[in-house]
This record gives sequence, C-alpha cells and structure tokens, in this order.
Amino acid sequence: MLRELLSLLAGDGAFSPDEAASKLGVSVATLDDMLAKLVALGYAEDAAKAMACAAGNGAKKTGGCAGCPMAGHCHGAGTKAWTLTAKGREAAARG
Amino acid sequence: MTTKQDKTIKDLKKGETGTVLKLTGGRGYVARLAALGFTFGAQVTVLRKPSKGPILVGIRGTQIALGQGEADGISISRLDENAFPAKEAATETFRIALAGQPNVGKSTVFNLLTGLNQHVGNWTGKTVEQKSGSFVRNGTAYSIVDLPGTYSLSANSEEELIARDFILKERPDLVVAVVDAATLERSMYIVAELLLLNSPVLLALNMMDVAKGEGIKVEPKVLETALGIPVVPMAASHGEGIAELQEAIEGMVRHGAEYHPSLPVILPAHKPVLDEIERMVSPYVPADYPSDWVALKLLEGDERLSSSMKEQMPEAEWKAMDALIYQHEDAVLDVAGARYQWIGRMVRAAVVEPPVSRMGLTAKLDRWLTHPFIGTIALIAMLAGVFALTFSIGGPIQKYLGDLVAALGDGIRAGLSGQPRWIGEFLAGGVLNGLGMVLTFLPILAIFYLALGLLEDTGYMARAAYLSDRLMHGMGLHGKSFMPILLGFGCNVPAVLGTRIIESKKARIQTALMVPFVPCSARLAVIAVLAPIFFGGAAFWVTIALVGANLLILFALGLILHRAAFEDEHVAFIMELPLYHLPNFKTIGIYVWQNLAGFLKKAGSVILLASLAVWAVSYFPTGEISTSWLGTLGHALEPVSSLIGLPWQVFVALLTSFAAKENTIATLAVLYGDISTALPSVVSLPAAASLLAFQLLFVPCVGTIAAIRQETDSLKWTVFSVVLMLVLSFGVSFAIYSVGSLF
Repeated sequence: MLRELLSLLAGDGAFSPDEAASKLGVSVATLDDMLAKLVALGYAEDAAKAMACAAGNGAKKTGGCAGCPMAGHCHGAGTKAWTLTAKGREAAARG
Repeated sequence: MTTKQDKTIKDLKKGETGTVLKLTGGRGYVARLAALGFTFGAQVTVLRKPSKGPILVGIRGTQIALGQGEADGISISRLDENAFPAKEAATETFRIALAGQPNVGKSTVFNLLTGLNQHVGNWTGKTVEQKSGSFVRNGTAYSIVDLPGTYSLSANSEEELIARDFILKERPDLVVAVVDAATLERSMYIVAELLLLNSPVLLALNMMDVAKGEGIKVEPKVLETALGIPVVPMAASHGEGIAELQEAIEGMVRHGAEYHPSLPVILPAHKPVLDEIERMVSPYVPADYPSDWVALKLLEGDERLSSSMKEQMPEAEWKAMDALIYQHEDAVLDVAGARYQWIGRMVRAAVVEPPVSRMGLTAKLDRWLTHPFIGTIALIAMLAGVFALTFSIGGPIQKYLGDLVAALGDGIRAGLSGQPRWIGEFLAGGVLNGLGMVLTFLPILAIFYLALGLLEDTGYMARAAYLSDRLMHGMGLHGKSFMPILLGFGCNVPAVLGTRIIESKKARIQTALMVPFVPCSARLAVIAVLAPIFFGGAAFWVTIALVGANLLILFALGLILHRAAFEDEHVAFIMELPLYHLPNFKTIGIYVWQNLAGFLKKAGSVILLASLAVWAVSYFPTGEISTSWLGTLGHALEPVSSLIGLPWQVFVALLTSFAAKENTIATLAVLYGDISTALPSVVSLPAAASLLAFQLLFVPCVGTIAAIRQETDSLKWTVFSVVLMLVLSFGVSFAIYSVGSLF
C-alpha cells in the first residue's frame, strides 16, 4: 500500500487528499497515516513546511511573511504539501 | 491458595516471598514506591533482614533496600509454605496491560476498571508517568498497567519503547487494546503491531457513542470475526461496557477463550529474506523476545533493536545480516504497507460510513473552487477582488495622505524661510517627500494584507496554491518550483531562498531566475499608487492588464527556460486542503501588523537613506535639480529614457528602485514634490503605461539579487538574471510606448 502511494508521489501533478485516497482505494484517514509513516521513514516530507523554513531567514530580513501564501506555517496551521524526498524518489525508481 | 492478609513486608522472614497488595502512605511516597516496582501483584522476596536497619528485598529482578518503616507500609499476601507452588499461585493474579493511541479514552477505561485502587508513579528510570491498579472479579485479582499512549510500537519515542518493552519483558497475561470506534482506522495501526507480540490481545472498541453520533455504524461482531480476537463495544465515558470488558478479560485469561488472530500478511517476496534474518539472529535474541518479531523489526529498520543486536551478535555475522537488510532497505514499505492493507480490510468489513460526507460545506465549496476551469476563474476573480478593494478604499486614502504630505512640506518650507534654504529643502524635499510619501502606502498595504490574510485564514489560499500548481504544470513548471513562485507575490527575497527545497540544481536555478518576474507586494503597492495618478477610474483595469501580462511573461519565460536549458523535474504533491472556516480577526490582525511593521522598518532604513542620498545629489552643488549632480547624470540618460517616453527624472526614480522597490515613489516625490499633480503633466498616457511595465519588470531589489547569488552559487547566473530583466523591462516598455504613441 505504501508502494502505491510512493508511486503516486513519484508521478506528476497536485492531488487533494480526497483524490489521492480515491486513487489508492483507501480512506483519507488511512492516507494521512500513510503519509505520516512515509515522513517518519524519510521517504516523504512536507515541502511547504520545508520551504517556509528555508525562506524563514529571508522573511525575517524583510520584516515578515509579506503576503506569503504559506505564511500559515509560521503560525502553525498552513497548507501541507507532501512530496517525496531524494530517498523517496530513489526508492520509487528502484520500484 | 491460603494467604495471610494484612501483613506487610516487615512480617516476612528471610527467603519468604509475598505479593504486593497495596501501599500505605502519602501520595508522593506511594508514587515513589510504585516507581521502584512495588505495584499490585509484584512478587517480593526478602533477601536479608537484620533486626535493625534496612531490609534487602528482591523485586522485578532488582534488589532494593527498604527502611523498616517503608517495609511496614507495603501490604502483602504471604505465600504460605503449605500453599500451592508459587508459580501456580502467581497465575491467580493476572496481569493486564492497557494499550492504545492517545485520546482513545484509555485513561477512562483504566479508571473505570480500577476505581480508586490505583497507583501513580514513573516508569523506572523514565520521566513517563506509570499508572497501575487492580480489580477483583469472582475472587480473582487482576492487576492493570496503563501503558503510555502510542501510535505504534516502533521505538520512535520513549513512550513506544516503554510500551513494547513492557509487553515483551513482563509478558502480561492479556493486552487490552483500546481503540476509538469513531476513528477506527487511525487506532488500528498499533493493534496490527500488538498482535505480533507474545501476549494475547483483546479489543476494547471504545467511543461507540461518538461513532453513533456521527452516523458511523460499527459492527463489533463482524470486527471480531475479521480480527479473530474478542471485541468488546464500549462507551467508557458513560460507564457502558465495563462489566462486559471485565467478563471478556476473565474469559480470556482464566477460561482461555478462543484466540486465532488474523495477522497482516507479509509479501511472499520478503518471506525468504525474513526467514534468513530470523535464522541469523535467533541464537542471539534475548529470551523475552520472539525471534520472528525481532527479524521483522530489523527488516523494518528498527534502530533500537538493530543496535541491541549488533552488541549481541559476533561482528562477522552482524555484518552479513546488516548487508542483507541494507539490500532490502525498502522492505519497510511493504511491511508497513501490509499493515495499512490489513487495517483497510478490517475496517471495510466492520464499518459503514454515513452516506453524506462529514465535511459538508467544505466539500460542496471545493467541488467548484478546485475545479480546473471554474476554480481558475474564481481564483482570478478573487485576486481581482483584492486589487479592486485596494484601489477603491486604499487609493483615495493614499491620495489624501499624499496631499497632506505635500501641504506639510509647504508648511515646513514657509516655517523655515529665515533659515538657509537647504535646511528647509532637506526636511521638506528630502525627509518628508521621500519618507512621507512612502508612508502614505500604509493604507494600500494594510488593505492588501488584510485581503490576503482573509484568504489565508479562511482556508482559501491552500486552494489557490493547489490550482496554481495545476496551471503552472501546464506551462512547464513542475512540483517544487511553484511554491517559491507563489511566495514571490509577497516578497522575492524569501521566495528565492525558498528555492533551496528543490534538489535538482538546474530546476533550482530556473526557479531562482523566474522568481524576480513575480510582482511582489512592494512592486504592486507602487503600481497601486501610480496607476490612479495617470489613469484615474481606469487604473484598476490597467493594473489587471499589466499584472496579467506580467504573469504571461513569467509563464512564457518558464516554458522557454524549461525547453532551452533546464531539465524536466516531475514532482507530485498531495496538498492538504484545510476545512473552510470563519476567519479569526486576531490572527489576521497579527498578520497585517507583522507585515506593516516590516514595511515601516524598511521605510525607516533603506528607503529613508536612499531618499536622502537622492535629495543630496539632486540639490548639490547648485541647489537646482537640472544643474545638480543627478541632473547632469539624468541629462546623460535622456537618450535612453526618451526611448520609453520618460523624462530623465522618472527614469532615475525607476533606477533607484534597485535599493527597494518603494524608492520609485520616494524619488519621484523628492524630485517632483506633489506627484499627483506634477506627473500627469510630464508623462503621457503611453509613457505612463511604459513606466508601470518598467516598474514591474525592472531588475529586482538588491536583496533579491544577493539571494539569487547565494542560492545559485553562480555569478554567471546572477548576472544573467539582471541582464535578462534589464533587457525585458526595457524591451517591453519600449514596445508599449511605441505602439501606444501610434494612437
């Protein structure tokens, strides 16, 4: 089941959790858990959070989140965007 | 079994053994003893008993010295020498462990089972709280240990390690897995792991009342059949199901109820590997641990077990096994994946979800707002709405404040008429016109951020990101590139820094080159000030057209760069779309304030300094702009500026935006004074359109360029970015002015 999720993330495009869960034939709750598992294992990450962290210093320098659509992450409740890490992509390529 | 009750450890002779019944004393004292292992049902043996001084006892494999008073506070049942053998007597006190995720009502179940008969302490050597207690049913005592709430047994945390070590080492007679019937799928992962350990499992299907309230129908009997273990439906918060749970516990441990659990299936492909690992580790596995479980956990990459086995095994054998595990490092995906498959099978069998989605309003709105076509139209309308709000409310306030600044400047000049002229000009022309005019942006920015804050806080911005990715995907931009580009609408500097998340260097450079083409809030604010000065009521539509054209250039550039120089990076996302909700105005207020505070900081530093520098070079040495240092430079630039229809003063103002985008306004105010009346008389409409286009496309601020240098780690690409923007800004402005002048 995690392999199928890995394959989905190794493809292209953006999916809502509903779409992804439907493609995998699982519930959204299970999808959430599987994503959390992939993150814990180092195969996936929340790219929106990673970017908010990377941009954090810049945001500080310019004095705030300045209209950033991902600003919610700085306040603990923003969009999450799960994607594969390099380890995840390698695993997907190995099949 | 014969026991002599109401005895304490002090009553035991050397070599005698008893079972702990209760602890007497203050809460802290009791907790300390419980933390040492003196919990209900624990076997304690007196090892040394002097007439005075501490009594040495053995408990749970360790030796502890107790004071005479302490020993007198621990009530025991003494095992009579004429009674049944100790082993049989011990089976009469059954040990039950309560396991489960946090927030499934485990503590409520524990409290209801044990009543007041419980002890609180810490797990030995840990900071995690341990709760233990007991109940008696039909003359048999059951000691209950409440394990820490955990999501799995993977030793990712201290709690998980405690829970699994307890089950493995203490081997309770039964593990009661408490799950939440309303979110059964989420509660079941730990059950899938518990079933692999060496204690039987009983499922306490708690929160049946909550599930019923949400229209979720759970069939305990079907679940029981699917799982192959007893299932007890409960609503512990209402005290329902406790008697049935006690009965089921009794049935399992005393009467040996049927137990044939259905386990997650390991893929046949991994079976030989698993068997091989088990064969290799089994001679070295600690006595308490099932070797098949150890092998499975090693295949899953369990670091704790891995380091433990490394210590146990001879180096050569360890290395061989480690290499085997490394070859199958992705097997964890199949092992954990099988558990999710198992969960899905169990839940599908026993749970019927309500036919109507529980998300209600969110699902209904998202049908339209995330629709590829309708959603895109809605997104454009939403952003246009933000501009409309900014122009209709912020514009007039900004104009009023601009007039106020101009009037204040006149007042300062008049008030200082007796002083040297440069003092009045410095304060009115340099400080007030430069800084003051930029500060008149505040209402525009406040409305802009308020609108964005509203979209963010209601949950809409996540949909905008989701739709944008689809749009950009169609234009050759993939995956992680789109997020920094979205970030760029706020400020290009963090957006360029955000490209760090893109692993591929080529894709990172491509995105860093594209970010400066995203109109940041500072550029948009300048447009919001200038457009109404030239275009009056049509300013909104002119701005929409310019920003739209800017975005088209961005996408076209993306396509060209993508095709010409950079590789295709395919990355998929699963993007969480939060529930729509009413905005929290405090959160939005903080967001607006943080952004405005950042702007004020910039106005008081970079913008003020640049304004004063512009004033100085435009005043000295003659006191007249046309013959000043700046005037001399400006006249030299006139052949270039005239190509795009702009007087040299306006062109110079655009060039000063290199320090900060807002400097365009500050410089114009320094050079022209009241820009609302002065600019329309020196800039024609085609030239005005060319000016706005130049402002949008010109080289980014110095901070962004520094960020590009840092993130691309290449002077070549940094220079390319600057030259590209120079060429494009000048080329587009020239085209607009040339075509516009034909009419």
